Amino acid sequence: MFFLILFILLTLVSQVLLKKASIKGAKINNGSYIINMIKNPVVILAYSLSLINIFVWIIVLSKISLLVSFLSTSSLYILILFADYIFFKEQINFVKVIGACLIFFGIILSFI
Amino acid sequence: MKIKTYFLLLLVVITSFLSQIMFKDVAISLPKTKLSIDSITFLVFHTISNPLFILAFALYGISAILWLLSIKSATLSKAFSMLSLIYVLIVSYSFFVLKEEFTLNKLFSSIFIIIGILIITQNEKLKLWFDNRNK
Repeated sequence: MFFLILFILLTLVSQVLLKKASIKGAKINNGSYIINMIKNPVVILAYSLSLINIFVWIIVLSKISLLVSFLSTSSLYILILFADYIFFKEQINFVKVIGACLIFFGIILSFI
Repeated sequence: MKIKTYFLLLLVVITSFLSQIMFKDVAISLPKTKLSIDSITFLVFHTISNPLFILAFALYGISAILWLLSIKSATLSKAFSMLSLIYVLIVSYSFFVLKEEFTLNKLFSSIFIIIGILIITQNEKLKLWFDNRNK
């Protein structure tokens, strides 16, 4: 359970960090976007978190059943809407939440 | 979102799908141990020394770079929702390659996911369409 929550939190944090860095990276005119991004400490931090997350995920898979672990991590598709709203002022509406819920149920259905 | 971004995200999905299949094989081959500092260190070294893990990790790296390119022009929620296409790939893979039996659940799961992605990525167009209808 601890590793499951850790996995979800690490995914959200690393995605938000990457998007923040990409907004900054898109504004820089000298050099290529990708090179600038790879050199950016925030991107390195975000990908280090994802790297740790691979091991966390392998531990989750070895401890919790596949269905339960995917059930919990699919909630990421709903949570990311709220993260996008909180950190990037991207508008959130009822229809989008419905869309995210459809994805959530779709993923669950593929495991039942 | 531009067509190019959709294409990039599709490539992200395909590369991470391939790496996920390999990661799964790595996970299966892990010995079962109780969790402690020692066993975690052991599991990590066991994983890193597996050649399949290295290949999977290289693919993961490619998909990470493609992901950086795609979030440059897409909003986080739209790009992230596209990632769920990986489940459509997994279902197709289990049906066409692993020859697992066809179930209605699998069909509906893909349909739900694709409709969900369309609702999120085409949200502005949908809203415009509804507004015009209600006038």
